Amino acid sequence: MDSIQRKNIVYIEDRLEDIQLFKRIIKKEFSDSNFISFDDSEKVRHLIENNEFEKIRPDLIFIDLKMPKVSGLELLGDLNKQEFRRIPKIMFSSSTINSDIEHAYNLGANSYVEKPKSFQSLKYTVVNAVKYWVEINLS
Amino acid sequence: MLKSYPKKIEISTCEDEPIRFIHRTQSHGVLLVIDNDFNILQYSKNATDFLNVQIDLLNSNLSTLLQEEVIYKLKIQLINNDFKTVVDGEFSYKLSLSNEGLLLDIEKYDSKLNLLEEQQLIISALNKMSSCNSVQEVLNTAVNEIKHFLNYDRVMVYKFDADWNGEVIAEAANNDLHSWLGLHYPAGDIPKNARDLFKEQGVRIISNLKEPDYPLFPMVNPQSGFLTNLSNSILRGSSDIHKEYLGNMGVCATLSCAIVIEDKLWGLIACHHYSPKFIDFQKRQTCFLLSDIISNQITIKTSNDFISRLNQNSHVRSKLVHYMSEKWDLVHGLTNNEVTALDLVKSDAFIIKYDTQLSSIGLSLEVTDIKNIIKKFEVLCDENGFYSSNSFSKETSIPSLEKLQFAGVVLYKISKKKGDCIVWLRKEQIAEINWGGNPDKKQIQGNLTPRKSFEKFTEQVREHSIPWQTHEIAAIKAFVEDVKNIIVTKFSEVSKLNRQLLSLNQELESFSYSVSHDLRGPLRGIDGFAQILMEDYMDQLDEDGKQSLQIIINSAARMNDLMDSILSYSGLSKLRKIDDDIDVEKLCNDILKDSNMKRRYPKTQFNIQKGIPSIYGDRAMLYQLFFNLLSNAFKYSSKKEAPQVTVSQYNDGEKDVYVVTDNGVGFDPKYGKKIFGVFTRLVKEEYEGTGVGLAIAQRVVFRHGGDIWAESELNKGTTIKFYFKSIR
Repeated sequence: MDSIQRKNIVYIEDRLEDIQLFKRIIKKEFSDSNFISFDDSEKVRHLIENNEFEKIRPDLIFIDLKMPKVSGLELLGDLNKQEFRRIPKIMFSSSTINSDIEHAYNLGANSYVEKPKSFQSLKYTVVNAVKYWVEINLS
Repeated sequence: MLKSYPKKIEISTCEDEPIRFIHRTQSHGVLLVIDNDFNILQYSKNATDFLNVQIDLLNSNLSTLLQEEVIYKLKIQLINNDFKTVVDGEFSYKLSLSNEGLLLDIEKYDSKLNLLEEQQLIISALNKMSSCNSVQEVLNTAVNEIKHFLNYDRVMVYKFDADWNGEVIAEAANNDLHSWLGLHYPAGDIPKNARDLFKEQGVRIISNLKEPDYPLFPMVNPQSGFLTNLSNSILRGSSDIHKEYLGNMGVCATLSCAIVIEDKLWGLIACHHYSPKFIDFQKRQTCFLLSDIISNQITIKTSNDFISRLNQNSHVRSKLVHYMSEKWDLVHGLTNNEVTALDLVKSDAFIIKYDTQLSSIGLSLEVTDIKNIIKKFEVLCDENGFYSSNSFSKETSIPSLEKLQFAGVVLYKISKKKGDCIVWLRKEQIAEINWGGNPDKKQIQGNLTPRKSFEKFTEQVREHSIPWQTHEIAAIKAFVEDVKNIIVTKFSEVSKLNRQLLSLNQELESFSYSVSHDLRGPLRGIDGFAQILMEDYMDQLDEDGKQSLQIIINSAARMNDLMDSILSYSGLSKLRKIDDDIDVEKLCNDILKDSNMKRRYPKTQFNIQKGIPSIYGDRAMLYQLFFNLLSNAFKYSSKKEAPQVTVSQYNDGEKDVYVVTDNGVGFDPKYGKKIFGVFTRLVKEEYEGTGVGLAIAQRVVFRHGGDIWAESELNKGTTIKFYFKSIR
């Protein structure tokens, strides 16, 4: 597949194990896509501010909710700019607290997914989410 | 009560008797009624004999009878309106006012006492009484002093109670006389009119009951045309009733002197003599002084007594306070120790009701009766939540108490809550009173006798207890303050604990929530990388390696389950409760279907009571409750040969109890309470589970205001029962 058509799947997450697991799933299941991860939300915030982030051309962004320094919700707010409006943003968190979910949607999240507890279910969830948002959904 | 009186004499008529208008005088003196110019208007018929004169008194002026000096002194007194006895030779003269003119009492004066002797006598009496330690000692000393001084056959102190009943509380009598100590008299024996006169007069004597009184001549005051009021005359004759009364006791002469405390008639000094006896004015004066000293001493001793009693009470009080605060338990503190609230004041029974607790001492009554008693008294309370009476039957009817001869009560409310109070009860006085003297009927004949009086008195004090003394009420009041303080402290202590518990709960919940979430990440890592190893390097691992990996994966899974349990346990209180009628049969069948019970436990026979009543509660919570109970029941019976799980219901008379029974492994009943704890597992690993199931079940039941408990025997199955608070 042409490299231009390769989909860029971005994952912003402070936990390195999670990034590793995620990366493995994407590499294995969606070998034709690029996996780009950030483990420092503050850095992401700077990238957005300097209009650097859009240069990555993300096709789908997974954002962890609870991160030190800049939280997932704050990043969502930052991403609420014209150039990111149509990029599907999935909140990815172990929190199922109602207020977190509501907050996320209000800030422009397209989906809210509970972080699965086991690797097997993580695989299932990630695969399904990517399939839907990248392959089925038009953005 | 009237049967003892052949003549129609009763208390009321006795009180109505116009003793102030008795127009007869005693034989030991002469009464002259005179006008302001000292012309004689009336005289007692013994006058000429007594004064040894031959003149026609009616047309005479006093100046023909008395020395000029005496006349002068009396005139001065009249001008100054200040009447004192004047002595001249063998007579004493006492002028007093009446509605119709002036009264002049003339008595024999034969005192051999000189002023010095009198002074010494009084000082000695005063010293003796001052060194006494109690009111009783003062009175004992007083009667002996008076007996010694006046030499009556019997000297008594007679004390009035609040209802003017009297009791002989001190006595000095000749050895050959029966003691009258402890005798009680009804109020009617010394009626109000007589009491009033006693207070005004101070000392009064009757010198010879056997000799008739002399009438005045003429009977009607010639100036006014009315009977002359003789109440100020010291010679005034006595009422027939009184004379009969004394006569029946064989008494011939008396002296009585009021003991007045704080302007109130406290009691009397009553002297009896069995032959005629005259005491002249000077000795009477001394006696009056003595009564004044006695009054003072009583006042002093009473307040000393009050303080010492209060101290005594405070010892009991501090003990009771200690008991109450020791275990924060008012009710047991006051009733279950060596020293009880009954020891605080002299009483026969005690009740305390606080919150849901009720206890009593000395009352053999049902709880419902006691509650009823409290209700009846409570309505009589004043604005301070206080009621006391020594004859409550006058105000309310409480047959259960009256049957047990209770008559006196003190009630204090201890909180604003209805029914919260402490109560002391006293029995009727009758039970306490002894007939002091020897009521020998042959010796004392007639109808108006102390014996009859005593019978009358018993009638009168029936349904009366001994009155509550000021110091007793004071002790109770102080004690009630103690109790209230303890309640307030206890209450704030409890609400503080509650607040702490509440915040602790919240803290625990948010803690367990964040802990379990924070643990998810690493756990996902452990599981994930073990899985990756499994997927990618399976062929490079030997059996040990594969097994180890599997254990890692299994442990992570189990850890996840545990965290789920914690979350659902701690998250339960956050759930909004929406109550509805829930069909228990359908609920159970749904659960079995959802969780595949029939397939997982094919051997198990499941029974549910036909037409089991629906339960009112939150559907989601009920699902969780029944799910936990049923999955336990299925799980722990699964290794039996013919496992059975049954859901049923019964009504215990108050509430619907639901029952989930199995015939499984059961548990030792001594752990019956423990199994509802978080992470309590009484079984080994052979049965899977996180140990939170029953804790969650209990939490659901508690949130529905009910209770849950387990009944079991090891290897004989488990029965879990629960009910919800009925709110319909």
